[in-house]
Amino acid sequence: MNTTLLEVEDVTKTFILHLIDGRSITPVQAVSFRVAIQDHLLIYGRSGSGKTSILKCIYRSYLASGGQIWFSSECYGRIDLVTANESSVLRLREREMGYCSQFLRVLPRVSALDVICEPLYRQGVAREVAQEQGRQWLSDLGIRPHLWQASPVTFSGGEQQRINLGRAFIAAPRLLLLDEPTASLDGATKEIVVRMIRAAQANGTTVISVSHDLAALGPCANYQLALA
Amino acid sequence: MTTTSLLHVADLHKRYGPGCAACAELTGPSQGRSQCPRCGTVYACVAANFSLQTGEVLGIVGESGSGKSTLLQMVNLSIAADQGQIWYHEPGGSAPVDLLRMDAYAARRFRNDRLGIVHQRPELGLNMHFSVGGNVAEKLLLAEWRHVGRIRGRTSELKLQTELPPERIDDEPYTFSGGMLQRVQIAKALASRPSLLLLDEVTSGLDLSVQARVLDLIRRIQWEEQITMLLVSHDLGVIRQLARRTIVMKNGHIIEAGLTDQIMEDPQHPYTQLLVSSAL
Repeated sequence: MNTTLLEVEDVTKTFILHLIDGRSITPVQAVSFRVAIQDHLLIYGRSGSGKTSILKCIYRSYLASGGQIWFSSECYGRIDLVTANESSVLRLREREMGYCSQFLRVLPRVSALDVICEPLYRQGVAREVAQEQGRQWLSDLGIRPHLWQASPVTFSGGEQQRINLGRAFIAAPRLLLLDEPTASLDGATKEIVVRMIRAAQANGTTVISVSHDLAALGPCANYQLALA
Repeated sequence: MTTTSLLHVADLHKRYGPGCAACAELTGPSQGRSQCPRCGTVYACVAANFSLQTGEVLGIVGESGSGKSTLLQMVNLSIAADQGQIWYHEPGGSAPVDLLRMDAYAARRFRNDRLGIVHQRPELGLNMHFSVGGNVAEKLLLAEWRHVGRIRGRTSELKLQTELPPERIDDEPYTFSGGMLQRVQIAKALASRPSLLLLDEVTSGLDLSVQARVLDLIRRIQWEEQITMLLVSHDLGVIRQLARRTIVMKNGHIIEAGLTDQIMEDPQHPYTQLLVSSAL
């Protein structure tokens, strides 16, 4: 049985900066790897080594300049995320792929509970059912109940990061992409995040994380990929 | 698995003026102008092509004068296109129809029943001397609703959905604040349960706190009803919050289209790079 979920083949990303004499920069040069179902791959390397760029090429926030990214999808079968049409990518994001960015960017004046429930609302889950799950995640992430109705815009950096992670985990995607998931978290909260990653894996999720924090995430990763 | 296009816009053109042999060379994004310096013709929209899937929110972004509102008004059938097709495929319906080839009666009926529009300026969308209930009822009467009980019932639903205070339902819109007026416009636009909602700079001119509440309302309605929306804004923040895909216009042309986050984070066209890097 082929258990590969994602195959990244010779992916290159070049940015052409039209505003600065059209110069080009290539943070990702011919990178290849594959990830099996329920694995956790940790990508590490110094700042500027292209870690986040790879993650964004997989999620299609960036258009890869070369190579293929084969995803074994439930909706479409084996599909190349580099060339897939936009509707397919949107559907995959809704149903199968989650992404947690380094920074939370949300609409002001929307409560933390509604922010964490957003992916479920989008899927058409009933409000009450979604909020029940949302309360459980907020509680597991150590966000105190008196903050649940407040907007995360007013939260501390660590609290915002926890809301951001909760939003990525709540939809239980098949592939979860985490960009620096433990940055700006204290030791105890890092442990919560590691437990969340392990629990998601046990429930069938495949995880790719990008981080400097080998101490926290190294032990829970099955494989590591160093970028120079 | 296939997704169905609700709307397919093909080769849509709108110009104001006679045109001349030099127009094509002297106008457009590469020239940085929409108006031909020889003959004075303004090219508001040139060869626009895009599709809108059922349940999708598509953003149109660009600077003032880029042609985004013209494009929206052509879809609303309130500005006549010079050339092109707008194919509309009713969900669950049979063959697509070209909206630009309908007779005047069919076009009016289509606009009243299947489309809803929210304007930047409420006085364009509302009769300021009808009550809130009267404005909603007006749209329903135009959509050929005739049962008073059903009209009343629908008005009450919309009042709840758009969070309009019940005690103000008989007030005239000119007594309302800017944010409240947009809620009334949204209620009116949604009244006939249209399949396509057009939003033209709906939060421009509102103060920031009200803007966030109106955007949240639009987003919730979209999630709950899965209504298809075409959203015009010059504000990248608004587009980012609401639209899943975005097209970028400049000097009447669509210069770039893509997933909204890709347009914001990895813009390809020099103008889009400038636009994104200039956002606050």
